[in-house]
Amino acid sequence: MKKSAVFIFISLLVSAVSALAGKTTFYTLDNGMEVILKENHAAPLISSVIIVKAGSKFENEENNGFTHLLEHMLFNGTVKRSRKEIDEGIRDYGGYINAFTRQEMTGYLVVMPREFIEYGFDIQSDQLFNSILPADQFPKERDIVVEEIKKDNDVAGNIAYDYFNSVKFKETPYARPVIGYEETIRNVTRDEVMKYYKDYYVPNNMTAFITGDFETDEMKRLVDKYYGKIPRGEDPVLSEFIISPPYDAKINIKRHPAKVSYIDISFPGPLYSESDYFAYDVLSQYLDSEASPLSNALTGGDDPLAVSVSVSLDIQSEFTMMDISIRTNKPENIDRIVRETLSVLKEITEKEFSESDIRRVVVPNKVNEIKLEEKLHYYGIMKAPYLATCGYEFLENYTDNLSKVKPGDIGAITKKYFARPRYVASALAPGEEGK
Amino acid sequence: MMRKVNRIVLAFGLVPAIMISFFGTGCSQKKDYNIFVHEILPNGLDLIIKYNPDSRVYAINILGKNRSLLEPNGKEGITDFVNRMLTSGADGMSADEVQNALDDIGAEITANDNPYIPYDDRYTSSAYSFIKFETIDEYAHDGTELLHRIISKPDFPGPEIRQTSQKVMGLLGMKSGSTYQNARDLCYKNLFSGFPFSKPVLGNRASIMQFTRDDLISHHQKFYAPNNMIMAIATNIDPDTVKSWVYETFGKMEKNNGDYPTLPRPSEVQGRIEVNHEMNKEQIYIYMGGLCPGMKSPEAPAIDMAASIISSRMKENLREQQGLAYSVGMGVSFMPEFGWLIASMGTGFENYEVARDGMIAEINKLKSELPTAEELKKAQNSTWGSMLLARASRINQAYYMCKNEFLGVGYNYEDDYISKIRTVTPDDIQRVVKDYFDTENIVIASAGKKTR
Repeated sequence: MKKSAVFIFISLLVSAVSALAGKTTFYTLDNGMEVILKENHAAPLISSVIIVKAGSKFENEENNGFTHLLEHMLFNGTVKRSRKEIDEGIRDYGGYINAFTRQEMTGYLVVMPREFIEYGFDIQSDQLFNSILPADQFPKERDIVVEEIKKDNDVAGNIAYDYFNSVKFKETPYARPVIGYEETIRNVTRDEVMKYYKDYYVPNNMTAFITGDFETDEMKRLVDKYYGKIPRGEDPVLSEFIISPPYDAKINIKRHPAKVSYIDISFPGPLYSESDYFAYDVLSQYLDSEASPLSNALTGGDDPLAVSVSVSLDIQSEFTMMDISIRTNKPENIDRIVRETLSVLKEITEKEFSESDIRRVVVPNKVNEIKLEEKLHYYGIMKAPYLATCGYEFLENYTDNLSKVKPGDIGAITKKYFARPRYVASALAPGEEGK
Repeated sequence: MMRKVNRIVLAFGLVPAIMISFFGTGCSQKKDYNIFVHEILPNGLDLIIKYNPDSRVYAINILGKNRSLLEPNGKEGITDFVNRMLTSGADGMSADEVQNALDDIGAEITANDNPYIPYDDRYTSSAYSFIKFETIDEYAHDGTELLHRIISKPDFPGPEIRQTSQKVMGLLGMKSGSTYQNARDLCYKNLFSGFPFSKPVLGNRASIMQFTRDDLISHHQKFYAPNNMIMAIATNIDPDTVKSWVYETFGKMEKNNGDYPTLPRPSEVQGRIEVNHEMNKEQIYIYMGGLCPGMKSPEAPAIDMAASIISSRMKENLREQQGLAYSVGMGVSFMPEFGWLIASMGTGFENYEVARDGMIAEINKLKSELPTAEELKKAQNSTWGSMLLARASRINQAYYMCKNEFLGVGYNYEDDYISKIRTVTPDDIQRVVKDYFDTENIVIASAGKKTR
């Protein structure tokens, strides 16, 4: 066949593929498990992420790190499978298996070539509902987690992140590290972890987010076979907390023997469910751009104050925080950087935002969504936290809602939140604690 | 979506670069499904276009050949520096105007490792540089023109040079605190002593501070000359149309008639070289390296599978049985004429000797006992799966097409490679381990607290 003829033939397929790409179905199984199926036929792979609403925010001072240790233990054996059969079983078929723990959720990821997805579901379902947390594996897994804690403690950026949270969210579970402390991990018992597992790992506390190269009707049958038969459990207690960050003009500083200083300035914003949330989101993305006045003020000029600045939103059910993260080689600039940041935000309350300012936020979002869909193993990891906190509808309508924001909406939000801003400023600076 | 990516604690960490085979994937797709165009343009640009209707993403990867070989002595890191400055102003546009032009079409340029993504440095190599450009089909034409302006006519404005120096110094500062980075650099410095690959990709404090605008212009003219670039595009747009866009833009760049040396072979490692970079950290990172044959060798697939089997055994015996590490593994990288094996592990400093000896023992075990058929099958399937996953995105398809082309095996090498690893036998594994996994002539680099 000549190349041009082949091209015409494939071109005819394009519309069919495009029409199917992204077809999404949301439903709830009888046992309360939420299911999202999103077809994507770009690669012969299927990704299954099971989101469990079990995270470090549901722990206390004594058991901090439980959730993460449990996540590790779920790779150590079930009623019918050994540890090796779980991990290597997936890889035997060319698959990928991993899990991740956050403050508000834990996610279990399996990516399989489409022809082996049923094998992947069998293992994933078994791992989530039939794990035995074998006693003989418990000490070894504790050692691995302790090594992980040590690894994290060797990285200044991680120490900075934990310190900033301990300041902003003091006296709430958000102040504690997801991974826990060596002392708590060393002292945790298997029985305590088992109870936590039984309480939180029920289908009515989970969402299955499945994307990839499948037909929805056939996938529904498989989901029902592997997840639909699990009995519903008691609804776990999903506590919420009132945070009261120390909004004062003080800069909290921790000393650490690092060559780079890390600065975090956090501002409260509207909850994701509030009407002005999307204008605030657009504003944060506008500020995050390398062409933003914040970036120019901090990293521009002949003698820049900082080497990098980024702006992001931390969204939880109880709060939204805009975090401005800055790195500098010059710790003597910390005070000035905070002042300069506040000054830029003050000036922004007077700015007339334009349609093109908004377009430069909305278009990259639209493009990024298409790009992310190609990366099946990242797609689930990136979307899972939103699903756990904000729900399916928020996620599905996110880009549309961003595009509805008008220049006047951003003007209003800057005046509301930054005319007299409340903030928490913290820094990790070189030096020794106490000196 | 600008949600904060809080620290995510993974069960196994992300797969380090060394554990991923360097090839891409896509092997289960029918060959006829894709349309390829491959041409060397009159100015020497090596152009590959892959068409299929799978995705709306329009992805371009540009590979600059022989990164460290072409960096003048004393100017280590200049390619990375040039890459960082591409969006700092080009063709009369200021940095803000470049950024706004990219945002207008939702485009993104990635030309450096992101230090905040663990192990993302798998794409970074002393052998070549990459520039990744992504947008979607509706902005593809504008995107091609914009990328051409950025790559062919960077302005290197003076103030931006100073800012970039500060940024790189900040990165070097961050890196200096990482046991992983220090162990890796120390290993490469010794494994490739006197060879271009011993130069740090990011440069060093001395080199970074002395780059002048003239240095940058001169290096850019040579390194990003069309005859030193491979350009791969993955798209759902008619490849002839895309080709015409490239001819109108990159096709008009002038060929550089200067001298482009070829990469020699590195010297063999003599004896066991054990070196440590002392750091006051809780963990010590171990990075072992040795040389092996290159990808032109018929032994390459067996070497790759042997490394994969040893990696699994290290994970099982050192992590799962002994709880020594959170991350451990082994992998191989290839150039056409030579390759290098790397095994690495992060562990508590008090475990150094046990960990080092355990890693060596896992390598040597295969010399006296054959791997099981089951182990080999796992390694083959695991490589196949990794390839599928790595090649799921268009930008990675473009990246691997460039890489395979650079390595001289052809842009669409994956199908052949998968066939070759399927034919590897347990006897092949034992033979290559005996011949090439030489634990007596290796570099054992570490970074951490070794003296107590």
